[in-house]
Amino acid sequence: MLDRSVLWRNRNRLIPIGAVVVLLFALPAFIPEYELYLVNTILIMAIFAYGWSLLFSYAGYLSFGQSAFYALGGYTVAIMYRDVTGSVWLAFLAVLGISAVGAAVIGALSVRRGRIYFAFLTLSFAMMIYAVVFRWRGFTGGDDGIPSVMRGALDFGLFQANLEPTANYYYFTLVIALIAIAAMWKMVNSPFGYTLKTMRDNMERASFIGVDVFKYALIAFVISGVYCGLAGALMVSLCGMAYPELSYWTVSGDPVVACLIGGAYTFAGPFVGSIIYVLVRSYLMALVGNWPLCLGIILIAVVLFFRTGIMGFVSERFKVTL
Amino acid sequence: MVDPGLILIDVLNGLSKGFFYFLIVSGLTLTLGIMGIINFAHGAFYMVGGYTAYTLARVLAGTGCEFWLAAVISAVIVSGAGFLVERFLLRRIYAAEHLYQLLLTFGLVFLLEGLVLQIWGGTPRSIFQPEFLMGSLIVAGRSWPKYSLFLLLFSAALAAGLWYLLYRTRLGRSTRASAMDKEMTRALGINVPQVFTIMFVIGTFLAALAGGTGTALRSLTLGMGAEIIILCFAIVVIGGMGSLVGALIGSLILGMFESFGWHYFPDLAMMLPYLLMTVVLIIRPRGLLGKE
Amino acid sequence: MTQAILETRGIVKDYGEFRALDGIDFSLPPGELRAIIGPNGAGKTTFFNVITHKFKATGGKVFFGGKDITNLPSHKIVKLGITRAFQIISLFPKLTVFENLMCALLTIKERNLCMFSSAKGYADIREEAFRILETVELGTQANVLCGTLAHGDKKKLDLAIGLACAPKLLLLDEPTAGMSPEETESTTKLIRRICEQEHITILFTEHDMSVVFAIADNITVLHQGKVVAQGKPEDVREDRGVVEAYLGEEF
Repeated sequence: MLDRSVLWRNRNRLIPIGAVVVLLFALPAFIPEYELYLVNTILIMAIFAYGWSLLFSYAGYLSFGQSAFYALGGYTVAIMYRDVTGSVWLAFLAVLGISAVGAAVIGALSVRRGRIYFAFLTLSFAMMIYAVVFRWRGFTGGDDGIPSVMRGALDFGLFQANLEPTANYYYFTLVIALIAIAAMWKMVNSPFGYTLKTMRDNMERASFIGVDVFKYALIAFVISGVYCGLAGALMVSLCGMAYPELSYWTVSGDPVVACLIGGAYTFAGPFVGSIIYVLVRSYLMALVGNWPLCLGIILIAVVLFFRTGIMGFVSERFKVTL
Repeated sequence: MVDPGLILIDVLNGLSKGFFYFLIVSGLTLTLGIMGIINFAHGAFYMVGGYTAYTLARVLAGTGCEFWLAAVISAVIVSGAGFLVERFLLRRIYAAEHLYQLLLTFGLVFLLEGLVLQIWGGTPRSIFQPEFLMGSLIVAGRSWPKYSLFLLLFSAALAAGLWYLLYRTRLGRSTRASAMDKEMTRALGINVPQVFTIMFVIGTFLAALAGGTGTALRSLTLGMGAEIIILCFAIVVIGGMGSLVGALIGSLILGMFESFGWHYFPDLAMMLPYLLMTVVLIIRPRGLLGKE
Repeated sequence: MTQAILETRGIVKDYGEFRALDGIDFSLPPGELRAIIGPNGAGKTTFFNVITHKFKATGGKVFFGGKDITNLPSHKIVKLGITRAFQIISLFPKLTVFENLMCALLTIKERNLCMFSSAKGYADIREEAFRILETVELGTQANVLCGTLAHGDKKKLDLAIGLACAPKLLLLDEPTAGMSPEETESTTKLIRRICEQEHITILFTEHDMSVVFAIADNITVLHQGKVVAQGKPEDVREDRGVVEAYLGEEF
């Protein structure tokens, strides 16, 4: 008897997801500004985390250098607003373009060399960008960075919105985040996504079923770079400041930790992990004031005892795929 | 006109920096070579060594030899901590996937940074500056800090000591054997985990000692650990992963590039180590003397 | 005289000082079921590795349907029509049995770049995957994570993935290794069926002589990197050189 249940699609999943989306849209009505800012940060971190996760959880490539694109996106938006235009459209278009080009260049040089060297290469590129941005006072503001980055204004002709108010910027981020996450969901379940999974599971066999692994690794790297660049741009616009440390290698750790906590091999993991990461960071900071210590303890505990992360645990316990 | 005196000073500075870097990197290379573990936290031990020496120097102030005592005692304490870390944390993940090993040491970086923040706070400190190291020598008509000479001789001496340990003692032979073939060495009856623990402690000792002695003219900052570990990675890549001689050559190359770089191209100098690392990884990933 | 589907001329493969393949001239007509045998270390797997460009040949050339494929990357060779199953099982452990086949089919149908359609939504691929699963008798395990399969089933899946790539030439490296007698028999019959019904040329290595004599049209014998005998099973059996190569082994 053939088992044809491969096509099981859980329509029931749409209901809780829909509820969360509705909740997210309703938030500004009943939570104060500071908390809204936090949720905004969570959404941005989620985009960053999904960007990293595509490369690692689906293609099997560990990168410690996605902070390079985070910074690239952030500085692009800051410089666009400072020197070129006040239009959100153009600025973010530039972000997508420059992140993609940067990722294509770095990716082309990095993916051919095997996975450990890949990890070091992404690290070294991130630090190179850090060093360049740090010293290039004239263009990037050097170690002072670029202050007073605005949030811009949306202009659709009939519909105009100034993004400076927290709630407006929040909706802007929310829409982008939802599109990004939906696109990611589509991608990982598509033929492209499965191609990446074959590469993750068995590089050699992947090429022996006809997959040009370097080509697909490069494409995944570019998409990841665009996501990370988008996150960086959104963050810099949100907090109003671009600075060289955005590219420092330890920043690359943020999405890694978020995915680990949430569950690196589940789809909901990066999102859940981002929520926890941002919330714990802000509340623990307020309480204890020593974030590195807390982060270190959490990270070590998760690696030793909760390796599959929260969603991984839930997956195993309730036998569902998330 | 090219001034030979200036060039000589740059070369001496390069050697001084180079050997000093080797002091720190040697521990990392040993860990990588034997157990294949990339220890992000190695730089943090360097940092904690510096801070601990700072406090000890203040405690022992007035004894006359506080510089040496502080540095050595600090190194002992930190390597003790290194022992605990290896024995009770790292050992648990040797068999795990590479990602988890990296993440554990990554977590350690933050933990140690947090400890430093807790105990010493975030403001930069300056470490005790001993009398006998202050002042300059005259070399080829130019002045060169005595401290740089000290670092050069001190680090080179320790490097020689390390060479002796690895090539003239039984422990050294066991270490090199373990690095070549763990299984075979174990089959010969050598307690490989113990060898590794000892080497880890020695490596941490050297890094902490470097922190205690090498930072007299610099301030101690929270970012020291994260900063030095990337330079260490650059050296390991250039010299070849797992090769100690490669690490020495890589350290000297980096030292020279830094010395000449900051002198002639200050704007590019910051980027140089990373640029070198990138170029090596693209053109010849296994570095100068690497095995894979 | 039809052109050979696979031809090698003077293949040499050195690993440092050690010469694993020492000038292999080999020719395989289309539609044939050929066995390559030889003692351990004779170079059978190395030969496969060189043909499929897992490793580069030190010297010599490989021709597929008259086309020089010596320096083509593996994935291009697959697209031209050569696939292989591996001696040490090589699957995609985190994917289900069905998904393993699906990925091979998606690739052969050039759909890898589709990013916004559902991978499981293609009816033609689903039907083809189930057809292959039925052929290798793995239909009931379509949803099982292949990492958890029994050894014999993993071997069958390995073969199935090879089939899914719609090859003209299939290289099987010890297809019945580690299987029980019943599984060996059904796999042997399956290989014969694939060759005849799907018109796929098959080249396989084996240590189990009963399998070889049951289905092979012709046999090539390798010893120390050289071809020492070639011909019909009955002839090879009598060959002096072959007997010498197997001195001490059950024949």
